[in-house]
Amino acid sequence: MKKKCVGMLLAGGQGSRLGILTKKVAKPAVLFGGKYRLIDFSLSNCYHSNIDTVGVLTQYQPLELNSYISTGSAWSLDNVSGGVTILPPYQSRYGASWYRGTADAIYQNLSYLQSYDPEHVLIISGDHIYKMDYSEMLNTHIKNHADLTIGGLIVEPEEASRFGIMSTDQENRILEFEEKPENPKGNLASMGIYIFRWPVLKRLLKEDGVKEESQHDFGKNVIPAVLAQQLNVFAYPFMGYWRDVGTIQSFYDAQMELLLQNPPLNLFDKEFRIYSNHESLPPHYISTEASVTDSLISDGCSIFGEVKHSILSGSVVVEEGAIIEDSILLKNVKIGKNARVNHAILDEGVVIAADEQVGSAEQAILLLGKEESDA
Amino acid sequence: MRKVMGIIFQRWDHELQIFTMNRGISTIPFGGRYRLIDFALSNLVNSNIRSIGVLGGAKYGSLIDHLGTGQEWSLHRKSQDLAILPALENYSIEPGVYFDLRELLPSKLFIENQTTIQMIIFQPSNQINNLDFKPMMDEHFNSMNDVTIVAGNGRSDEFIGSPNENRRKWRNREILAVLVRRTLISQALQRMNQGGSYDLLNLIRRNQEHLRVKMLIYDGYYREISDVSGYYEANLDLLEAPVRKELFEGPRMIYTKSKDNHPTQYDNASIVNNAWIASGCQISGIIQNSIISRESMIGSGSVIKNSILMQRAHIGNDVYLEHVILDKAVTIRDRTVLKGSKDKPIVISKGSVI
Repeated sequence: MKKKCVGMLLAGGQGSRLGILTKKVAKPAVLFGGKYRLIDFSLSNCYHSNIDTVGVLTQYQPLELNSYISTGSAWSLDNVSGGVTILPPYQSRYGASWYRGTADAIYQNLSYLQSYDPEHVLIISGDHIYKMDYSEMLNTHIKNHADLTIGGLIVEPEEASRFGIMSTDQENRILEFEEKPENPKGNLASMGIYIFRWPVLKRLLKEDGVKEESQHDFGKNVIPAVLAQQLNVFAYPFMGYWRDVGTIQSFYDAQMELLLQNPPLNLFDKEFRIYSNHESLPPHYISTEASVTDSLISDGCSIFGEVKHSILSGSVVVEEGAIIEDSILLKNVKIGKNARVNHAILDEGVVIAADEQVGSAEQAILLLGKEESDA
Repeated sequence: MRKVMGIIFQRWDHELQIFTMNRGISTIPFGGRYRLIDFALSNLVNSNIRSIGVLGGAKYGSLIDHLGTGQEWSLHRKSQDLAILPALENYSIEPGVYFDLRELLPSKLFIENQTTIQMIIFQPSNQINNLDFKPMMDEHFNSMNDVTIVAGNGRSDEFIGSPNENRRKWRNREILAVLVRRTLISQALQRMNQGGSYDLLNLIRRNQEHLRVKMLIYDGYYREISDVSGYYEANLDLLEAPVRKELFEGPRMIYTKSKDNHPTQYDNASIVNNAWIASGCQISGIIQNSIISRESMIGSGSVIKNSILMQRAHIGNDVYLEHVILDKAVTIRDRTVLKGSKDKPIVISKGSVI
């Protein structure tokens, strides 16, 4: 079936800088803000942008992610004419290989795209926190008759060297693109969001696929090749909320922002809801002795102690006398009586014994996984 | 394999009229995020019963909206796991009647066509409990009962003997569910035009000499919601740890329609004690001994005590509510004071602005 635009969501990232949080799950499956997983943001954006056909490319620790995405119905992506398709690396008659890079992941699934023969292909990743209507970017892409449009974001000059930096003319035409430059010439950073005209993408990936020296990466190889070929390449500046949560500190900071009086990311916005595939849990209970302030509390929690400036995911138990402060507790964490947790991220299922103390306001954020707390 | 069908029916709702102007008794919101019918439906699903008919009565709009495709209960309308059965025209449910079998006449085929079904479980839609039908079905089939009645605890435990002797016991007991051999129901439906009583319990009572009828006593928590004070008390029961444990913390979950709500947000002034609070709320102010449903907002300086707030309550600043039940989407303006009593809570109907 012919489609105007098909989405390809890169969800194979390991996210190794998130330490034990990504030991058992891929980065897009990491919990955020009490009930979301990182991938919810990209999938919800697709829903709000009327992108009803999305291929999700998985590789690293795909089990949890696969069952989480399921039929895509949580994001209304279970329609008859498209929907979500999970695309792990597979074996063909020419052999089998892991995805060697972001571009290779798409290259190995050209037949998936060919089956829809779309006019345009949207390429996004599943590990950023943002709300974006891709259809506006697509309209601009079409209006510009662009071969490629890259979503761009203004970043602080001192951070620019972490990103792919684009130099543009006044019409946003990209003149130069440098991946993680040592001396950045500007501060318009690539968000890793691309819209390609499908025939152009197909040709570029076929060319890149056979290049021995290529790392098969969009930022490092494909984008420079596009510019070298003098194609029509535009930037699409995005002004909204966007966070990279690739490090423990940024993961923590982005969530603590949700506790501000007027958070930059409004998750109560009914016009642009972030959908997620969550289990059915009862409401949370706060006991007579408990105290909860400045916090986000999810379904299924039972709180008998004190919770200050913290985020609790589903089914967390805080027993009497325990004090939780400036912390993020993921699903099924249990805090024993009179225990204290300060400035910490506790991974799913961590148990803190009675009277124990973990984390401290003076030290860096403590990240505690299940095995470590069991020991 | 034993094949069992579940029928969820509606009981008389006159005493709950304030909640049932635009919805049936089945879809009265309960416990922060549920509807009454979620309990009966989850009981059937958790007992692996995959053929379920729900009688929607006249006001079934909210029921259709709530049940959707049945996906949230792992049921599918396509394979006829879940059917909303049409209502009998010009029929109103009467007080004192347990379940009038005439209500099944429009859906006679739903029952007749499923000839592999051996037994039907009848369950009212307004009970709060977490029943496991599996051992009850075992008992029913192993003892080769025609009828197995599941009743609340506390009184005599056998229902065997002559009808006269037992009439009083019948009347005094809350019946949680009735398991009946399907062919008995089929026969009753065929004879229906020839006069006689159509109440399921009357029918059993009148024929009990020819039938093998057993009563099972259920020891667990249950409440039948049939009036406002019962509704109020059952909600507040959720503040008791043993009730929460039995209803929600065991292996059998209570399913409901999910909403994509954000976790509930508390600000730096919130003081919350002994409360059961659903997702998507924004809370400032003081909450005590109360049930707060999804997407409610409570302004600063407000006090909510011994109250039940259904979905999307919008409470302004410096409001005082005590012994109050707010139906869905009620707005309470700043500085309003509403005080009911334990025995007679104030009820504010859906969508009101006070």
